[in-house]
Amino acid sequence: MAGKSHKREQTGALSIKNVTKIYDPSGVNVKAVDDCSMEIAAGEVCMIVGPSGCGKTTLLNAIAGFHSITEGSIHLDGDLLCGPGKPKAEQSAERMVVFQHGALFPWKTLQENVAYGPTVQSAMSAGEAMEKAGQMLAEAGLGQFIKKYPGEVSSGMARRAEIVRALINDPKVLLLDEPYRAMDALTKQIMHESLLETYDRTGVTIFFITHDLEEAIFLGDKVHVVTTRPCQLKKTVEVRIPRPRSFETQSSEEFRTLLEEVNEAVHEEAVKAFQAGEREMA
Amino acid sequence: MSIVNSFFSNTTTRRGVGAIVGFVVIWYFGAMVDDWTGYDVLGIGLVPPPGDVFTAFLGVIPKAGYWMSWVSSFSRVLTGFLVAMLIGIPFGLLLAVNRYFRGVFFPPFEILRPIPPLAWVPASLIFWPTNEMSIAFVTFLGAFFTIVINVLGGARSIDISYLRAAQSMGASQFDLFWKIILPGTLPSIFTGAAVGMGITWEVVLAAEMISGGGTQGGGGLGFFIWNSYMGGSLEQIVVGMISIGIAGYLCSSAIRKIGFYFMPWRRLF
Repeated sequence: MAGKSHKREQTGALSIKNVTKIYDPSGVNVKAVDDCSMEIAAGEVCMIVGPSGCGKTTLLNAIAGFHSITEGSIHLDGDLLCGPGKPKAEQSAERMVVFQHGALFPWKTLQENVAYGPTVQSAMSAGEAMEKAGQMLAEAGLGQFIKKYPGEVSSGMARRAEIVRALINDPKVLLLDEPYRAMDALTKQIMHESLLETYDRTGVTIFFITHDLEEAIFLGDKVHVVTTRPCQLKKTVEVRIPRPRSFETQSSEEFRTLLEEVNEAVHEEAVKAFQAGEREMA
Repeated sequence: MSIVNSFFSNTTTRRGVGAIVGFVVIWYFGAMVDDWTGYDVLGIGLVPPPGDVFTAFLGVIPKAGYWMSWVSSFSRVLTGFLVAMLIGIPFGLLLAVNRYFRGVFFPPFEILRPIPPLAWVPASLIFWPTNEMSIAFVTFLGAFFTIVINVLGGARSIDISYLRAAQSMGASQFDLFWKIILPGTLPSIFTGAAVGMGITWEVVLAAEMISGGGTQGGGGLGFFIWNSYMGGSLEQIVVGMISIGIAGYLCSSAIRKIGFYFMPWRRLF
């Protein structure tokens, strides 16, 4: 991580300690997260990798304040988000989520979408917010599309605009839940480059959930492999490939070695998840 | 000339006009087939040919009574429809966002909803002091239930990610309602309005036929048809039917136009 110098390197440290989440719909306990701990440094890109349905999103929802946790605690820069006596964090613009299926408001143009946060927070006047939104969208390469509705642009552009909508709120942490899941490999590549470029500019802490191992290594400072349900930290792989990274990085020897290492850990869990699935079906 | 040219250069318009002309031609052959062959094909030989209907149309156009029928039917439809919108939209939204409200009002609503609006006609003729009020009431019912169900369904099916995103960005409950739930429900509101408008026309016509629709030419298009039937004028019956078709078309285009205006993001579909 040498050579990074952003204004916000000191904020956005997430500390997840012994978090357990038990869902209790209709009296059947389902343990989604079990005694899961991880430390995410300020300004780190932290990738969470694990089998489908393993409880990764549950963890993200707890950080975002959408769901409560059953045990343990989560701190942001030393402040308690949720923990004993406070099961659910409040939702806040310091922790912005970019959703799996995209959640730009279809009834607002890209510019209006991005301006929404500062406007409802009364952090800026409506005019200022619109101007700032236009500027930020232009920086993200969407200058021509600011007056378009989300339905009029490609999914890649929409996702980029959604990240801009999160960033305008100056969040400490960006929470991404498989944002590029449904995209083809070429679009994904462009998305990755754009996200890395954004990251190099802002240095915001990124908590990124994915299935895609190459994506995890290409983007991340650390890759946390989690177990199949209930979700626990299985292995942390540090990615020491220097930034800025480009797509050539992916053919380097170092990248391949890391990929193998992560793949091994994930594969074991995937097999377990698959067998557990078979048991549930039986 | 240029207006005519541009009108016909639009493929959709050309197809639409062509289809209507084609329909009239088929109607003509259907109506004439018994005259030509001497055989009555499935009763359609009784249908008056388009020419006779057109003549009957020209006959009623100068008559004030015919236009009064338009005015009274239209005002009944609009009254019932607008009241249904004014009550139905807030009612549906309240059902969607407040679970206490839903707990109290949804069960009786669901019991009343399956009752066809026409089943209310006899009771409302008795309960309401004037015919006019009972027709307006039945018209209102026709649109009300459809609008409420659409608004409720629309508001309940708003993607939870929109609500979460807005809340994370600092939206208050007030913002959530006016900036997320309401615009998110608009498409369903307009679907409900379009379907509801169709039902109000059905209901108003039937109610006018049953009630006689009052006196001095204020009977409405439903009564116009009924009257033509009593008078044995087949051509006028068809004139009345086509008038309703045109009236319904005008209403649904108006709703589409208003929908376009309020939902610019839907223009692309």
